[in-house]
Amino acid sequence: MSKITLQLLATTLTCAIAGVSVIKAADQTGSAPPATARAVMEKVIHDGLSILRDPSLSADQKRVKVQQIAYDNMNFEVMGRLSLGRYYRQLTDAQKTQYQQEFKQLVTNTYGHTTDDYTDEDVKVTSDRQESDGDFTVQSHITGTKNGKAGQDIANVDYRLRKTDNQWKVIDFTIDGVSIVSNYRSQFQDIMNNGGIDQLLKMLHDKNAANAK
Amino acid sequence: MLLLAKWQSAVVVAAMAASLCGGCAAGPNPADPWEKTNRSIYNFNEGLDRVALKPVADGYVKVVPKPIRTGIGNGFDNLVYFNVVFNDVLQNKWTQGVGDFGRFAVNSTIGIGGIFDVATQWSLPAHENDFGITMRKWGAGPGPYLVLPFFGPSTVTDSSGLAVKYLADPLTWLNPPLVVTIPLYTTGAVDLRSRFDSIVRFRNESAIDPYVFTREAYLQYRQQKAQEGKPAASTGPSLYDEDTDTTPAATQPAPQPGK
Repeated sequence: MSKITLQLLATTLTCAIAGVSVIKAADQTGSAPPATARAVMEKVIHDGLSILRDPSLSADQKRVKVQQIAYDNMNFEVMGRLSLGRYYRQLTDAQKTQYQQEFKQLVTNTYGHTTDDYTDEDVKVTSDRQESDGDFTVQSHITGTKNGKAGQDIANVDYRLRKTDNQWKVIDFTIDGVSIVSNYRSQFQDIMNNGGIDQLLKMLHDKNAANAK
Repeated sequence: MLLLAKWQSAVVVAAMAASLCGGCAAGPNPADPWEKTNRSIYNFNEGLDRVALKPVADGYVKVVPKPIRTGIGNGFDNLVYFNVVFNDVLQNKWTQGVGDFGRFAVNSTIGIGGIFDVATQWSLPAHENDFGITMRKWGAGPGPYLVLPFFGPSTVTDSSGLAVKYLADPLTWLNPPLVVTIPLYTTGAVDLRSRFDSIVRFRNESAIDPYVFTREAYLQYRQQKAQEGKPAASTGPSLYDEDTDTTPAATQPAPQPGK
């Protein structure tokens, strides 16, 4: 993989998480959740960056806070279903529950760790558009310091949000053209074709166990 | 580089040859018809990384202070930067091309062989461009996915970019003896590896199948690059539609658990 791809992914994921992570200080104060997908993302990004930039928080505290925002503002269930695609409907209820549990843990664990890589990046929402199915895509641009000069391009991240229970939640991120859901779907499809759901659940479980160490 | 370039052409030929017989048993993924061969090379690269490159890169990070590593990284980036200028021109991107030429000139001279990135300070930021992108803009498809030994993920189209990159490299023109090029490019590889350590770590934590993760990320990223960041229509609505998912192989029988 080209070095720039890798660097971008690393930095971007940090910011993406920072962003996605923090939606709702609003709820803590009892006010209504933001009404538009764009407003939701702007709040997430603002709150996420505040956490990452807070010098009084330890790396672990940041990770926990950012993960909490992810729990509040990402729809893991939809994300998990989309990542498994057509196979999801073939699962038994027990398999669905186990799959969703493992999937959620995989995503939060791995993305939560990326908060450690944050330096001084800034994230701005650049535009938003409605998709044909009613979802919203909110586009953001990440900049940071490169070779002593601030404001250099790091990456573009698109967040796709879907409204469920009157609340906009993130169902996918696309980092410089690389969609997380699409990436997981390709991985899962291969495994489902070769070893079926038992194999996939085992691999998810083993990965989560290895990450927990 | 000479050594690597020779290696690479041998490898491309070998991969093509292997694909001739592999083609009859094409895998389910049309973008990766040579998956079996690719996976072997991928595993070879990963093994090499585990036993040699990563340990050396970790040592490099430990021993060499950050400002010096930054200088070394800048130097290697600058060394191959003429390739960016050349492809800007091929793609008719004159404004960017002039800026990139200025960047290359400023960093090579005032930046002392590229060690100091003066150009970024002067608002001549680095761009990414190569002949694989040029070929795609000229209308070529990405071609089948191809994993190259040492170089990693590529496609048939993108691998042509490596040859052009080699030809656009000042070291190719100067043609120094191998006692110079081998240590130089070894250092370059170690430096590069140290710079993507965090993303490799991320991949290893998040990917259930790191081979597929790498392939999908590479193909999508390159496609986006060739489209200048315009949203890809090819992603299609089906990715986000739970009811009419039309991913390939939908007619296959249900997978047998535990097979």
